[in-house]
Amino acid sequence: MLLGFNALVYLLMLAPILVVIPVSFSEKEYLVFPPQGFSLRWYVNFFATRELADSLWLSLHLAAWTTALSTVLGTAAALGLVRYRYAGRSLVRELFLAPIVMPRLVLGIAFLMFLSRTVLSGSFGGLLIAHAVVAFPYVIRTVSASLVGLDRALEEAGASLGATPFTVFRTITLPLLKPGIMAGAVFAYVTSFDELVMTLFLAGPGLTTLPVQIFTYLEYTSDPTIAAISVVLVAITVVAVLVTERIVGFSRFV
Amino acid sequence: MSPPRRRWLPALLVGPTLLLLLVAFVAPLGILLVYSFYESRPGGVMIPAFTLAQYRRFLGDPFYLYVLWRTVLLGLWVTAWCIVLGYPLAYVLARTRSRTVRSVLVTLLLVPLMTSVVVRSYGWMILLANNGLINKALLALGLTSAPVQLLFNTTGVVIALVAILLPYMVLTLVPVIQNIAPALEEASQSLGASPTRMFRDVVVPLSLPGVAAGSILVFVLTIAAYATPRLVGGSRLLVMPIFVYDQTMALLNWPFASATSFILLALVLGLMALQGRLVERRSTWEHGA
Repeated sequence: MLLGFNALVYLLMLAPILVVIPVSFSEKEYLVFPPQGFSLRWYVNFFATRELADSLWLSLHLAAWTTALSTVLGTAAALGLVRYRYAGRSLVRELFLAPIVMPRLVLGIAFLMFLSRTVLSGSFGGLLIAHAVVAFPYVIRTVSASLVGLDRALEEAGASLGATPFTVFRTITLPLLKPGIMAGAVFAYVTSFDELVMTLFLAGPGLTTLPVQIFTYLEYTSDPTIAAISVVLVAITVVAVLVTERIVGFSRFV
Repeated sequence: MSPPRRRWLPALLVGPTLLLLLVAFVAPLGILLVYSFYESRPGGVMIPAFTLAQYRRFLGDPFYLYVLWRTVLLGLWVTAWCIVLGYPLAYVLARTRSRTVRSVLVTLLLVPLMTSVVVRSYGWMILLANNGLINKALLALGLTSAPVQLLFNTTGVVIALVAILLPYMVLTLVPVIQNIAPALEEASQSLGASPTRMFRDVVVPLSLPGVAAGSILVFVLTIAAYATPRLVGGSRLLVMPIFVYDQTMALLNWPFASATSFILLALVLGLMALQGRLVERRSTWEHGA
């Protein structure tokens, strides 16, 4: 009985994702169940519609920059927070993790008001900074977890054999931190790629990310093009999760 | 421990991020706070001032308080359902011995968790529609003679939010239940307790801090959720995030929007501070709704 109950709970969580797959291949313009016919016209429509293709490109581009920026900042910050003792350390740590608990809605409004007073208003740079602020704390968390579990005797052995601190870092510390850094990078990428609510306040001409584009579309229509986009979005996410699970054991970092 | 040589190194490691956060996190929230004390005039005009008028306006108006109450009520419903549906699953996950099975089950939780909220809301719009899969199933089973209205009302929003937030509840509960030694369960059973009694008197009480922590997380994510209430709830469901959004983007009343944001924020941060005391280690992935 428990098995059946839990299967239903999984179905509840997965159903909205699974249902978009048949809809994306349907022939009809309106939604019917079960979907009729088989066609790729909605996928063609997705890539042929200039604004949708542009949004996908912007989202991929933004997520890549966000990941690069947050991985570097987050890894350095995690090292500085875990490895050293200094006054105000726990305060800095609290501040660094604070963006995670902030509602994205409130952050979006705050960024809108803040950016409207600067030259970054309506620019890619403004969007990138906002995304980096919400993405890098995940890198801090995963890298900190790796750092705490790291055996320092390995580094001491390297140092006692004459390696310089930088060589020890490059050839011992960094490789051992790789799983944490990679998991953090995936978190950062997915966070940016899927970000919707905060970005709604910052999107503008030429700055409409794919989730924002879908959201705006859905307020007026719901033709299966959205289903085709959704399948592409889900595929990117699933591949990211599965690949990382295979390489570094993603579930350890959750 | 290495001696504190190279004192500039921690500053170099932490400094850039600290600078980024001061400029792009503390300052924006500071501006939001400052604006919440401003006066507003129709047409999006703000007048610098130091007044509590915006806060008084919200807290003194029965309609605005009703919006707040509806939001809290929505949060309570979603939280209750997440406990009921999430607890049994968390228990099974916590007690699964096979690493492979566990990895598969956790991955199945991660996939919805990491799928964009806009995709999952769209999926629910398809499922809950009058001619959608759920209504088709209800009709086929003879449970209803006419389609049940599930989309664009509170019922639909509760269903969608429960499904979207369930992984947070489960992932908060699993480590807490894992920390309850199986030996305690075995001891109570060897002393003659029935499985039901063992569950009620041993497992449930010991996992209550986890239930509280998961509930707070789900509640907070619900009252701050914007996309799902907007898409699945349609134009009729007015909750705090939708109210705040419209004040900011449609009515351009930034001082009032700021004050309302801070009321919502106070609720969220107060509860999250409480939650932080309940569980030792927070899950990495806490936000997204």
